Amino acid sequence: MLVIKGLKARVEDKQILNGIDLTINPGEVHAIMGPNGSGKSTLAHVLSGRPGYEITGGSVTLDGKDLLALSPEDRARAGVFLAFQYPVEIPGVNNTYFLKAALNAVRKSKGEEELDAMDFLELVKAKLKPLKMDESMLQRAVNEGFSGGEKKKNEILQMAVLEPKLGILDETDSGLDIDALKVVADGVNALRGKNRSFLVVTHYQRLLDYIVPDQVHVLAGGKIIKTGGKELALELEEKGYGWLTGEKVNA
Amino acid sequence: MSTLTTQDLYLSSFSQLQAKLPGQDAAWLKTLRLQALEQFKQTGFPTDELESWKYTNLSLSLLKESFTFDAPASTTAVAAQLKKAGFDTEKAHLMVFVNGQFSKELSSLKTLAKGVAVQNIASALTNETVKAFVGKIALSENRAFTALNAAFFTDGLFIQLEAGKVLDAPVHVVYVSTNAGQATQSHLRNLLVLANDSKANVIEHYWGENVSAYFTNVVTEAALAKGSTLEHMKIGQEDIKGYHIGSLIAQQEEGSHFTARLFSVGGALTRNDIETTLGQKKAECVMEGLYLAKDKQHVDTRTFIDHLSPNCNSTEVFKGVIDDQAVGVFDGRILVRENAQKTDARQSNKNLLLTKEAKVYSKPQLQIYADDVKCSHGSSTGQIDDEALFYLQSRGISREEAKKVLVYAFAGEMVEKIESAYLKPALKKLVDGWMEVS
Amino acid sequence: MTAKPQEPSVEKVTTEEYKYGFVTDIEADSAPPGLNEDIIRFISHKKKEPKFLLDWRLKAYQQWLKMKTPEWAYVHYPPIDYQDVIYYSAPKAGPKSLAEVDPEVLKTFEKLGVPMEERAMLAGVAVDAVFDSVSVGTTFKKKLGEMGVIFCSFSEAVHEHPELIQQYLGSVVPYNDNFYAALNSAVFTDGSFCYIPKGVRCPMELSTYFRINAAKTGQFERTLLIADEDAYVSYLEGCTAPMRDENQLHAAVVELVALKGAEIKYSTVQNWYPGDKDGKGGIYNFVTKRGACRGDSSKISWTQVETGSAITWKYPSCILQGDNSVGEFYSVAVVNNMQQADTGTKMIHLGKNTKSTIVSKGISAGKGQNTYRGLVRIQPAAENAHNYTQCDSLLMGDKCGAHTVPYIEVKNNTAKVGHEASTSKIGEDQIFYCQQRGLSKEDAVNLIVNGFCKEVFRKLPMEFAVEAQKLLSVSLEGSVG
Repeated sequence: MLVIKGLKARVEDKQILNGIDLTINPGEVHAIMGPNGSGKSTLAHVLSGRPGYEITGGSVTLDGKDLLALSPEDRARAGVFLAFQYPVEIPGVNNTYFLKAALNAVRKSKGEEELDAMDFLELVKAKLKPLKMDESMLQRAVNEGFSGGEKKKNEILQMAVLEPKLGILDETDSGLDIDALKVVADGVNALRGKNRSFLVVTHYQRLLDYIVPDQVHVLAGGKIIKTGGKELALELEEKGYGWLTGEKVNA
Repeated sequence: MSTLTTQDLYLSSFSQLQAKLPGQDAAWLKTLRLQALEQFKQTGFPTDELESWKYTNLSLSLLKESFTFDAPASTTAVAAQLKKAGFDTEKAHLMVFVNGQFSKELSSLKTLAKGVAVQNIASALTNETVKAFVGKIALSENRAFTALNAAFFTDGLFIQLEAGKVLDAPVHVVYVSTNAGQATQSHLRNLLVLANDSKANVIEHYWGENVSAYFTNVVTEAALAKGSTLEHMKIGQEDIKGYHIGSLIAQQEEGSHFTARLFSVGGALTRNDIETTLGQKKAECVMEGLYLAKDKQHVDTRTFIDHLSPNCNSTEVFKGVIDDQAVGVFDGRILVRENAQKTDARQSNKNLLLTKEAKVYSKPQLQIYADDVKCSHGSSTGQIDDEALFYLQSRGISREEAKKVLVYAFAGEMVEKIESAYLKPALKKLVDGWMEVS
Repeated sequence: MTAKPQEPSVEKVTTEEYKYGFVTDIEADSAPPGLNEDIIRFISHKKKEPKFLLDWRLKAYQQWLKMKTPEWAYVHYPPIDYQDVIYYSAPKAGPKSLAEVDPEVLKTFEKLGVPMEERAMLAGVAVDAVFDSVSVGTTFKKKLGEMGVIFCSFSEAVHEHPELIQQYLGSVVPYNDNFYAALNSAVFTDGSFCYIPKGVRCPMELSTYFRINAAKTGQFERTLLIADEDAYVSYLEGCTAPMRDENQLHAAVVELVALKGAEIKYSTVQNWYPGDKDGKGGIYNFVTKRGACRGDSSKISWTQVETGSAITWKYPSCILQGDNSVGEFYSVAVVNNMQQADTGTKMIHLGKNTKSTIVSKGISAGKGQNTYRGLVRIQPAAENAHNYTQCDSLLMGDKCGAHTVPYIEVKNNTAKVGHEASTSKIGEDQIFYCQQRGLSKEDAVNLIVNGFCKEVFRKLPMEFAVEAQKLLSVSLEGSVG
């Protein structure tokens, strides 16, 4: 489904991705791990089209469609969802309104009918429950004044509503206590299915106890230096990244 | 005396004084003085119709007095007084000016490294650097007091640092006014020139011991070359008969750091203009100040930060405590020009009013012509928090004492921000002392 | 406009045309251009005014001759030739009731979306419409009349309630208040008048639409609104003008009087023609609006959404005389292309326990210049006065400007006065976040800007809030591409 070939990217003068090759098939969960500065978050950003990165080589396709040629909103409409490491606050914009506008933009692009307020509310309320989110959150401004945990749950809620083909989780575990982590992981697991894939970017193995990956890739210096099964994560937890990168880096 | 005649008085004094002013052998200065006098002639003294003087009416104060140019020669125990005030003067270069004249006897300079000059400006008027900078940073155009100063200045401080030079100890400059039966005036011009990556720490300290009214008019010009650092502190301790008008104008090149601090407690009327131009990228400036006023004191502080270039930062915090029937004015302006992208500018002004008759005028302004900026300002004015007062009283502290604690909590922040071990104890004492008598 | 290198997508040429730019073709009965005592007499005579009013106008004119154009605002425009302006232009038909109103005019209102006749009924809005300089008709008069509410054109009030006019006219904005107010006092042609009697809560929103039509015509309307003790009224004002190459002058005066316990909500959506993208044409909007909270516990609330005009010079103010009185100012001001706005408020605290709130949201795009200018003055007698001011500016594009010029004067230590202001660029990270959820860049910008203005929109009556949001997106169209 997602095919990344020789992807290279830089920020200003700094080369960050040095040729990434990665294929994710439908229904698979892949984890990207790596030390700080290895390019994990950059990969997530580049896939979703965040401005500020220059693609210097390679290709990315989603179901054969050239992803890199699309605007960020068209990638989103094509089914790429990025759960932000730092979800952005938008003061004054009601959470429900935002989500409805997003969902209808996605539906419209697929030629589906837009949902009216009543139908939407029903839909979103149903998605709230498993995330243990309070309905009052819908009436608040997007992420404004949300705690770290609330922000991350809100990201998963959005993902549940938008039902993407590919969910990219960018350090979703950062800043979460164990209870919130479980709720978020349960939310993600509930969305796993044979037509939906995930790319889980994380520094720690902890999250992978709850979202069990099919494959684990280790990213260092902008390249995938090792690929393995879920047990690779455990090995990393134990040994750190140093044994792979040849440096003394502790996870 | 009306404004017009006061102005005339200055104009006519000039022809008499001209030949006695320092710099007779510096042609450039003679020209500068004449030009400045002409500029003063055109503008006259500012009235409250001018936006920059809206809240300070000179015709009711300064311009009612008339001051002689005859400065009485006088000595005073400066070093002992500084010690009493909490300054360990052995750790500083001490320079003293009495009634606008440099006093060699009272000054004590430590040994200076090569490439470092600290002297009185009257002895350096043929210096090429002095010629190059005086009147070029603080322009006399449309600024009556700067023009008057250019025409009449008798002396002042001159510091020049060559590239990479660091002034190890602070330069503490004391400007004393002392008179008997006659109202006196002094016009002082300071020049601080810092070459690339040099560093200086300068304290301008004004005080008076006077029988009659007096007027201090000072202009300080500072040039900060690439990577240089200037820490400037102005302590205003003029006595209650003093009128103080001062400007501190700086120009900053790439990556320079300028800190301008003001502690103003004295003077019947005090007006300070503090300005800097962030002329090249990555320059930084910090302006901080505390003004304390009581009785019928009038203290007016005007700041201007000109963000001319990209990636510059400025932080500004001014606090005022106004007691009795005193008046506090703060007029702070931040200008971010079209080219100054990635500017970060923050300004805050907070005032505490201690009595019903005290007044505050605050005018924080942002003028922004670039879009990729982060700018904010805040201003607040109020009285001591009643609940906090009650809380302290309920713990057995007297109301008067509790008030002092809370005022100090407010004003003390500005003392706490000071890192210099030389200044901190003395400034703490200054603020404490102000509260004791008020 | 050229694009910035680092964000090539920002700024494309605006393609949205001014939606309300059409010209109604009706015969106008105009005075020749120019201003002198004869013109003033002509206006006064045309309107069959009592002598006291003519005298007042002439006094104002004499004062105006001695006054200078204020130059302190951050707005720049070539000097106005006041002798080249037409000071009176009335539709010839001389309407007395809606039925007699020139159908062309009615059609204009229809195009404007003015809720008249059935539409008015449905919307429950009573409308007084000022077309050029003459008031064309007031709906719902009868229903309001039963409650004792007077809502009519200013001219009508001059004839039918001269005592109220004489008592209140100029009592809040004196004829010599400022240059434009003096000009208005001399030459104003019509406007709205409203009186809400004691204890009456006006059951519907009262509304006035102003429109400048004839070329070279200045519009000088005057609004006087009095809420008697414990009365309540919510008043809406909308403005549009056709597209013209020359600049047109608009200098209105609005006076509000709130007596003991009364509350006035005054909302404006100003959408005068802003000129084209090169700054050609557009309205010069020099307006004096002031309300007096005369009685104890009275309240005046100004809400404005300013998207139009080439130049806006406007400071709706509150004089908080009565103890416990409350003044509010909520403002959204948008400038795009070559527009300039210098707007804000004055809150003058005179009474005890008076409270004021100022919320100003400025949005600058294109080459627009936006200034918040405000005064908060706490006078010595105003014990326990409170003010809170919040000014936020949003910048879109690197050719525009946002300025904040507050004046804070505190002469009583029991006051609590706080001012906060911030200026920032529209958040790139916010735009990306929205895009990542599938919204287009344009929609993302609209969403963020509307969120930014939310606090102010919330203060508008429902149907106005919707219109304001639409106007905002139309005004900003093309500013971020």
